[in-house]
Amino acid sequence: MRRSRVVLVLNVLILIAAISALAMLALIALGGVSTATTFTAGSPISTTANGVTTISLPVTVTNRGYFALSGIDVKMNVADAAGNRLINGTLGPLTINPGQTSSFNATLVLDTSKLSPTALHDLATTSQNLTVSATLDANEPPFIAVSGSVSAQLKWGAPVSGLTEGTPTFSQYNSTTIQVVVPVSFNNDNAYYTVSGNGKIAVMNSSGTQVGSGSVTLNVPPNTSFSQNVDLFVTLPQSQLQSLITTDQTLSYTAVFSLPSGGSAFSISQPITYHWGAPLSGLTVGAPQVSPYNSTAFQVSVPVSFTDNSATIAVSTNLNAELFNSTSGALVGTGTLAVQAAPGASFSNAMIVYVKVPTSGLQTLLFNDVTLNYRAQVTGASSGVSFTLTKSVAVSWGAPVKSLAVGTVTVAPDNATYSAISAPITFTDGSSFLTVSGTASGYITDSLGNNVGTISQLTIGPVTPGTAFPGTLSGFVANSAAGNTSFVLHLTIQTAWGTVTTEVTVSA
Amino acid sequence: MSGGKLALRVVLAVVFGSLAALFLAYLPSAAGSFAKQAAGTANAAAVESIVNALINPSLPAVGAVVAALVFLGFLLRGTKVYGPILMVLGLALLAYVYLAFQGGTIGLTIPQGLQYAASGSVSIGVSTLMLLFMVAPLLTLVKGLVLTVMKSGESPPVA
Repeated sequence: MRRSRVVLVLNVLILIAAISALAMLALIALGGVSTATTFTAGSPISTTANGVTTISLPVTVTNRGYFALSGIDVKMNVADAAGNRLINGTLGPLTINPGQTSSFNATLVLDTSKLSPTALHDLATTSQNLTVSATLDANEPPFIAVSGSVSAQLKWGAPVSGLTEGTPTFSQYNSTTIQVVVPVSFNNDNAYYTVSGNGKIAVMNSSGTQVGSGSVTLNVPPNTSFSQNVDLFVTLPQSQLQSLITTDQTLSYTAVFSLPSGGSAFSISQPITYHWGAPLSGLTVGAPQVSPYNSTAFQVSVPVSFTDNSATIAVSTNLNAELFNSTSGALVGTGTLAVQAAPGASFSNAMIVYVKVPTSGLQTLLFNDVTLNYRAQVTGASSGVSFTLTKSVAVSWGAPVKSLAVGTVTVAPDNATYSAISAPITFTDGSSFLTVSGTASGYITDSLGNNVGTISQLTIGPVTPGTAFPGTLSGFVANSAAGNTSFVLHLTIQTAWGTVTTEVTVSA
Repeated sequence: MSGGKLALRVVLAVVFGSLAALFLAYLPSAAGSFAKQAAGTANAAAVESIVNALINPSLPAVGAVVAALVFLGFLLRGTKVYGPILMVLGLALLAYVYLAFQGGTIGLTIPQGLQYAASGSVSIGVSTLMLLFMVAPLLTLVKGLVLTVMKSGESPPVA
């Protein structure tokens, strides 16, 4: 009887143990399933500061089980194909007691300041597989303790994929700024978010200095394309303006596109090159030609030529020339030439500058060959940009009264006081462009400087360039000096350019 | 024992033995296939692999042994071998529980072939639960021991 009771007790215990174990398993499973159905996630809240984007995902869960959930700790990070950590996410550690509702934030942190520009660039422009890694710890004491690590590949579509710029169009905006219109297009291959905000474009020159800028408003939903013309305004350095007018050159810039993406800005650099055709390409001032104009001036013909290599700018302007004495700096002549050329056309013509015969130094210039040095300064303006070209001009000055010579004086008695004299006078007009006309007169002294006679006025010329003048000086000397063997003739030569004097000693 | 009681005992033995075989041997062996069908084509192979990893390969065999012992237990209840059968059944159930809970820590490696190329490993500690499930087999073992001792103490029937 006692043994039967032992067996009965054992049977009851076995039944209780079996039911308890199965009931416990059922409670755990039922609690897990019930709790899982209470899991709700709110709208994510994104904040960005100092390059750190924090995405908070509010989560609410109610523990409908019969045991506490403790040590819930989830850590997650997302890395790009190169292994750079992009996102760091945490949840917990948390404990949720039975029947308790818990609200908490799962946070995802994207710290772009810790990412290299290369990594950001690749992320923005290259579709790739991101590696999502997560570790999980959770307990339902005393029955279950879960820990695990999982990684998965997440396809990342580049938000700025296939960024291309079309051929830029350059135009003159004002005298110091050119407008560059660049067609920009790209695809937002990302499936999750819209590329929106203001895209900024900085134009940098070869030394890294910003010389221009532009902006574009973006609103590119996922899996759509963007295509738009972007206006850039590039300020030309003053030092480069003149060379742009006269010299073809390749303009090389770097356009730095700063595009907003997910609260952060991605910068993408693209070179921009433009073959600039100068509107006055090869502007050349040729060798000046000097020719006679009138008795007081000569003309300098300055050949000017260029080709309008600009695609859009037609040249229509006046070129002004000023001729300066290169020694004194004095302005000695001016000229103007109207130039017009359509894009692609060449221009060639001569600018005429009228130059007055120099009067200062006439004493030297009349009797001696010299070289006159001038500085020709050609100025003009095209598309609001002024330019200046300087050319040295050397004029070979041939003496208008070259090789002046007076032959032997012939003395003949005339009256009781004076004797008549005559002497041959010759010179050559050595000028290439001046005709000599004027008079010669003067007085006569003996070797001691005593005034002994006069020279009658002699008309000279016109003597054309390169020809010789033969003439005869005549006058009177006092009979007291008629027997002298030499005289000094003090000649005063008067020309259209002025009066000069010279002394000639002659024998009798 | 009358013929009717014997027949009832056989029927019970077959029913409980079959139920034990169904839940303890067949279902563990077929769980992988069921999961594969439920998962669809995309992750079928991987899910089957996960389920198979959760179930020890020896589990269906031990389950079959348990089912056979359940059958024998019902059939030979009250006999001299009933006690030893319960002892063996208790040991078999202990082994079954141990294998089912993988010694208290269920390790799972996520296989290749899942969506997003997911991979990794998960460890689930279930020692307490395993011990809880071992109580009934232990008591069965004790009961078998008690019955064996009791039977061995009885005087043999007079011929």
